Amino acid sequence: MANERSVEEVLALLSTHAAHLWGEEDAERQRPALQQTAEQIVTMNRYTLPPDLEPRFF
Amino acid sequence: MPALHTLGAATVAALVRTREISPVEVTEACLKRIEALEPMLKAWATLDAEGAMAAAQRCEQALQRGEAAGLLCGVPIGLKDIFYTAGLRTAAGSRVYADFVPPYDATSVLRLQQAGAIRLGKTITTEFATADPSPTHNPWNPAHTPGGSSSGSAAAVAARMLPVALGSQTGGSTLRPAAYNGIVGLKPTYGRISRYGVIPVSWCLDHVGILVRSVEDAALVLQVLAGYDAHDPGSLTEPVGNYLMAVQQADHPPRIGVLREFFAETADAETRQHTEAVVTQLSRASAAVREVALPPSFGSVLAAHRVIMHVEVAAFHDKMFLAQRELYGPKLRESIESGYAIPGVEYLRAQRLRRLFQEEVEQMFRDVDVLLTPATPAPAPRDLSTTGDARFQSPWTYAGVPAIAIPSGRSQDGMPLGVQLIAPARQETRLLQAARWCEATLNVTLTPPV
Repeated sequence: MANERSVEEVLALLSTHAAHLWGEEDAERQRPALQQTAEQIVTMNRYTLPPDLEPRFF
Repeated sequence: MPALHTLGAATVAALVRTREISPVEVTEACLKRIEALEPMLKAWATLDAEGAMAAAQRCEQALQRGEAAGLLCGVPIGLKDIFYTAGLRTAAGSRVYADFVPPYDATSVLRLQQAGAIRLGKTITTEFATADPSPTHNPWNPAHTPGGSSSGSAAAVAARMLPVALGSQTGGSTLRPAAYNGIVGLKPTYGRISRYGVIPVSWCLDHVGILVRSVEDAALVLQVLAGYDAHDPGSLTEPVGNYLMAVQQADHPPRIGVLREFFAETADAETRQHTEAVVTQLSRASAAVREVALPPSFGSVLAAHRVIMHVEVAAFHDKMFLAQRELYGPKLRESIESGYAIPGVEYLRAQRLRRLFQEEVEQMFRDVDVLLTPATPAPAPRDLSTTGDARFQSPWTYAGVPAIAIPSGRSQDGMPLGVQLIAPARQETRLLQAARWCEATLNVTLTPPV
């Protein structure tokens, strides 16, 4: 999702999701935390994973 | 003989076994120490003095009958208040769990008791073992955070209220408070100690941690706790090592890989200089020291760790949170809300990156036995609104590899400093052996002014 997206674009997506779940006003309150999460998602996506890499949960 | 409340676990167990001291006397001494310091430190959520004295008396009677003594016979222990204790309140530092009394004991609690340990009670945790600070004070200076989330366990062990307490680590919640309080904190490989009966933060990242005052005691407690548990889906099936023998045979200097880059850039000047002085001291004592580079994915690891944690904490709290949001603290609430918003694709990316990082970490040990970093970027902050900085622990928790923090000195303002050692997955024997050698070489024991 976020391979080529900016923090602002990811934040907009997270905020839309939050607004669906909690309403616009609540999503606005969550914005500072969602901003941090958007930064984390963008940072995580800076590293390109091999397409055949599967997760291992335990 | 030193005051009984100051003795370590291995010493207590040995003296109880040879009947030189009584488990009742040791338990009484610890309870008196707790009574004296608890108003200042606030390390205990629930103290079970009556239950502890009854267990100590049963232990003494068993010894009098000539029954075999367990490895922790007569050793007082504390349990972070997220470990299920049958019949004893387990509130997890939360208003949501305020009246929760578990119907069974966590596997780790059972194993400690089967080994003869005396359960004194439940130590204070931050709310659900996350980031909102607890009321516990640091025994070195009450204006500084004790760290978290295993705040009560670390402060109690440092203040000589008892020799052993269990904690947990999802980011840095065992090693960080250990370092901030000047004691030893051990987090073994993911799955080495059962998580069954421990209230989760994140199923994939949670580890049971051990807080003690020496590497020998860490080995002793791990020996009791380690082993497969069918109740825990992440439990390791590999055989358990002989940790006690490992620390007794720690006479060979290890090959140490020093991590600088991110760790040197993030640490404050005093911590950086202190760590370099420690490395020099270890090298002069014949440890083979070399610098090891961080792997390519390292720059994304801290972010991926947070993504997993947010999503899994939201998944666990889900219905409880939806029903009682107002009962949650601000930092935990933010984390859960972020977890709801994160797309599934990103959560899986974080899990895929985790597997890659685990493989990269394995490669870091090609030429060294253990890795070394400062335990924390700085000593315990003079700030009670935070539990400190977990960034030096989180990568190794994310990878699931074993790590230990040992005390290594004090800062200019008198707070403890420590170093962290990391070993490959399932190599606790190697980690403990190296840590014991470093502990003996550095010869630092820290006792807070309480």
